[in-house]
Amino acid sequence: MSAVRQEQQPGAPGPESIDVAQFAPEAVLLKGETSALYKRFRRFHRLGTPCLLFVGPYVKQGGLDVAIDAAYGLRDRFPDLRLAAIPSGAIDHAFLDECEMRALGLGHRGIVEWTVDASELPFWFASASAMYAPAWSGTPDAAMLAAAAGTPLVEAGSAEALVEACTRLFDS
Amino acid sequence: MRRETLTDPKRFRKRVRQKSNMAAKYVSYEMEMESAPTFPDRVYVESTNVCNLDCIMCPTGLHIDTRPKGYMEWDLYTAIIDEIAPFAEAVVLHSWGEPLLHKRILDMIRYAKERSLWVETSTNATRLDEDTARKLIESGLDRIYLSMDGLTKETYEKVRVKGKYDVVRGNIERFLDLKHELGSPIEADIQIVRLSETDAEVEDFVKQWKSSYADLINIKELDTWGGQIDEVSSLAVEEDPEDPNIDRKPCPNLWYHAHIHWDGVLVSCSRDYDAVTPLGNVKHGGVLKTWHGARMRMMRRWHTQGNFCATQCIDCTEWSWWNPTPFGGGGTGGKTEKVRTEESIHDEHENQVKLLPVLNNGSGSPQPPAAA
Repeated sequence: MSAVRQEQQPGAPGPESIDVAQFAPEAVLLKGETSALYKRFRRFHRLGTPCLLFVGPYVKQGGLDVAIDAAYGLRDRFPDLRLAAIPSGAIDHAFLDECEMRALGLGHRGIVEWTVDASELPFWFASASAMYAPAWSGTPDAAMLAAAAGTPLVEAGSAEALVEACTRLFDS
Repeated sequence: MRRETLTDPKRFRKRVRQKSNMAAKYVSYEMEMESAPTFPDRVYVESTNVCNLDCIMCPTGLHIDTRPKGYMEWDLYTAIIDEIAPFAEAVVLHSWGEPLLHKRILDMIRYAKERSLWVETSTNATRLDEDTARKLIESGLDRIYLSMDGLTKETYEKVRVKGKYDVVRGNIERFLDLKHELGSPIEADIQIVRLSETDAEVEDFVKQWKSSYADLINIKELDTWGGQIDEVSSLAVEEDPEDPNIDRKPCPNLWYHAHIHWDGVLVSCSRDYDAVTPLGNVKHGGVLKTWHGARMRMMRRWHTQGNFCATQCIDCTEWSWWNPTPFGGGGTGGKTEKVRTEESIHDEHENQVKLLPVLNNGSGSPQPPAAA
């Protein structure tokens, strides 16, 4: 019997329930009250630029470990880099533990959120300079939301490839 | 042990749990265990990181902290207290701001007191007007540190920038008078930090406050916050050339206490004033879950492996102030010399006289009063 405990993350982006229009940059940045909330959100999470957003399940082959390793690889070139991870899909707690341990060296520059408030989802996407969500990890909705937010989606099968892709993107 | 602890089974069980926790923590620290069925005995809850002074030995006062400013929300606070009350010994309501600036600080104290926790806090006394002083005393607060860094107006205002010496001194004296008038058991400690600016005044400072209604005069050694800030480190009075990091050990703080910032972020100790190495957020799963969580365990592992790479740990020497034993961590309140005032000596004598008939109990020679 598998000892791995997995659960569905309730606050994560789900299919039909999300209003994609909320993710458009004009909805986040230009509306008075939303814009103030967005600024507060960024201050609260100390989100800088560039920011690599991971959206996906916290399970093996889900890509979170790849994103963390890539953040280490990008640190020298981009000292202000932030990695923000938000869950979408299943959570394997043992794997999450491993990732949290791995992320400790990133300090406050490597945020792994355990839950995410649905009302803040557009802010996470708006804050990202790039989003990494492996297509095979089963989160097509995240790709759709990234498109709505105008956030580039980066695809890579390894940390090295992700570092290279992000470096090109952030430098451009 | 206090008499009410012996007569109340609930309190008694909690005390036994706390005592065995200390022993277990000592073992887990000495055995370098990442995780053990222990709990933090002392929980530092940052009511706010907003301050109205610009003290020269403080990262908040120097405005070099980058984390957001804020006040702990009531719901988060009550969740923390509800969780820790059955096991923790003390809650400390200050960290990187002035607690009296929190609108609900009195409610926070009362809430923790109603759940039988020892509650203490510190204040710069700028907001300690008569009404606040009376309410603080009546709230049931157990200990308050009254910061008065300087004997003279000139020194005080040089160290505690924006503070008004006459106002603060007046507030402290009135607070102590009120405490005396009301016969309050609150422990009020006058505190001075020994640094290059105050060093020459420490002796006279003690003399001045010795005859006050304070309980203790704390002469606190400068905490350099892990040597992270040159402006602060340069204020140290050089007297201890021996570098404790020659024989560095894991920091006991990681096994003994919990430090929670106003936004729920758990950090290793107060030296991580900027939450550069967040160890999780207690909002996500509670204090214990976070304290035993992956990041905290990894931090302990780093230390046991001799890896002190976290920003606040690299040059820290303050870890050596700890002295863990099976009965306690010995790291509470930093490195502080405590001088008793005439009032506390008098009070103890009075208490002994009052306790003698009870303790004597008709069984022969009187016994000394039991330690708290």
